Amino acid sequence: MTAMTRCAVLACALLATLVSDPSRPVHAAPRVDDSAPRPDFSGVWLPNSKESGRWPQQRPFTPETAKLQMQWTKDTAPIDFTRDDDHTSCLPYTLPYLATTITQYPFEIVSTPRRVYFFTEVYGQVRRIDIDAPAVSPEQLPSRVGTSRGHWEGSQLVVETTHILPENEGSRFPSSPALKVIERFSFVQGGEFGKQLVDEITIRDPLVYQQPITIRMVYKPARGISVDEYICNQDIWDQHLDGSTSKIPWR
Amino acid sequence: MVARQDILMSRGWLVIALLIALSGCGKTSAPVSNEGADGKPPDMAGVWLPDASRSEPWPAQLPLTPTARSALESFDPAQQDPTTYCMPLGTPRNMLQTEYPLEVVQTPGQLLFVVQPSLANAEVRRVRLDGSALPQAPEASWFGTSRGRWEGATLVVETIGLRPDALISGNGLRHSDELRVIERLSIVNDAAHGRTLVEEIELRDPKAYEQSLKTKRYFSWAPQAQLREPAGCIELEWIDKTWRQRLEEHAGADRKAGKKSK
Repeated sequence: MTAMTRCAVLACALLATLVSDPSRPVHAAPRVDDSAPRPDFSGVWLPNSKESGRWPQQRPFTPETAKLQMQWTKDTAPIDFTRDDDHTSCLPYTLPYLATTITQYPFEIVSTPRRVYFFTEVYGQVRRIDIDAPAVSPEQLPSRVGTSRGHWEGSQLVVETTHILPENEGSRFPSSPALKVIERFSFVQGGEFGKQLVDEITIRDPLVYQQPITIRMVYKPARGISVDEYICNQDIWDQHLDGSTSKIPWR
Repeated sequence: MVARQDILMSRGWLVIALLIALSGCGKTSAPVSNEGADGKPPDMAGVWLPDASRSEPWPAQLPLTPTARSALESFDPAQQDPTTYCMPLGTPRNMLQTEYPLEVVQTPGQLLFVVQPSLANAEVRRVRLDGSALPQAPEASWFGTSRGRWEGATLVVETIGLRPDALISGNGLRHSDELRVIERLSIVNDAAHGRTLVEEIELRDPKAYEQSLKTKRYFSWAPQAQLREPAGCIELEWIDKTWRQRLEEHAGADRKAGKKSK
């Protein structure tokens, strides 16, 4: 028996063993190592502007959305961002912009066994990610941060968020009730402190985008920085107490 | 894409701050007991609903200094209540209120109290449990600077650095920049009320009170409570400001163009 024949016989024998093994699934799912240690993402983080991805220059809007946007622009022109921008007027962000914005404000992750919290400094928003929780009820009301479910795949935390309050066609980031944001959080080596947090974001919104959009956000540890109070409209109250008129033209 | 009207309607629904799965608020049959009797700090994490029926009222005669009494008597909510201007409740008003749920986030190193009375103002109180001392003169803020420690099964939280323009209660009870809030929290189980977070609140403020003020609040364990993101002051203000102006401008433009307005 030549070496090649021996190899062929061994290969056939191995294949036969595999096929006849009743305990082996015929279509094996991608293997997830459940024994992998689950990292603790707790801590204060800042977007790494150099390494984080951006929204594509040309977003793949559906023809219907593009048409609605054109009509909105026509109807509302000229747009005055000092007045028409909802965030300038202290309205908090919605997902996915909340996760993709590159801001100088930190956010804090607090991990508990059943729920992972994100506390953002800007607008003081709170995201709650329930781990291994039952599916979200279809009757769930929408909110700016949506409703999130998380599960671990090895050392990655996978978070699916739905029931996000839609942004209309006038928004820079319009969305529909069909929006689903999928995030995969994991640690990677690198950065100033040797370790960074990566959020691989997939934005699926078939009523707005023809294809999913993916953005890879990188966050660096914000050592020595705390998440503080952020009272967006504080100036209004301060001016009221001072008895002064608004110094801000759009208010 | 949803119509703008639909969005506004869905936002209107967000005024419903909370839906409770009542099944999760059942009473336990355990006798009265304090959690943490085994020496380990009790687990306070989760959502708690204020039980207004058990709130202790303030004494009829508050021991106020003349300045504080005068401020209370001349209180004008339209001008002097920060929430009229979409400001936070602030500490300790966010713990004394009986309208919004209280969420406790607990880790060994810190404990957070989260109360979300309106969309833009999630009130997050961070209580460090690392044994560090309170700073001498922290910058004044709405939620204050807090440190906590476990005394057996009781969590003792001390808070200073609170803005004197915040109120203690909606009827105009105020405090000065010297306010120190001392809270003592524990968990009690009894047949009548189930699992309850009991909070004793003491307010020490020699500039405003001749003796410290004391009261109690009770929060019922509500593990199934679904927290909602309520539509808030800011959002309503923005809708009013922006869209009303827009509609008026369009109506004006239409009139100018000779169109009939409906």
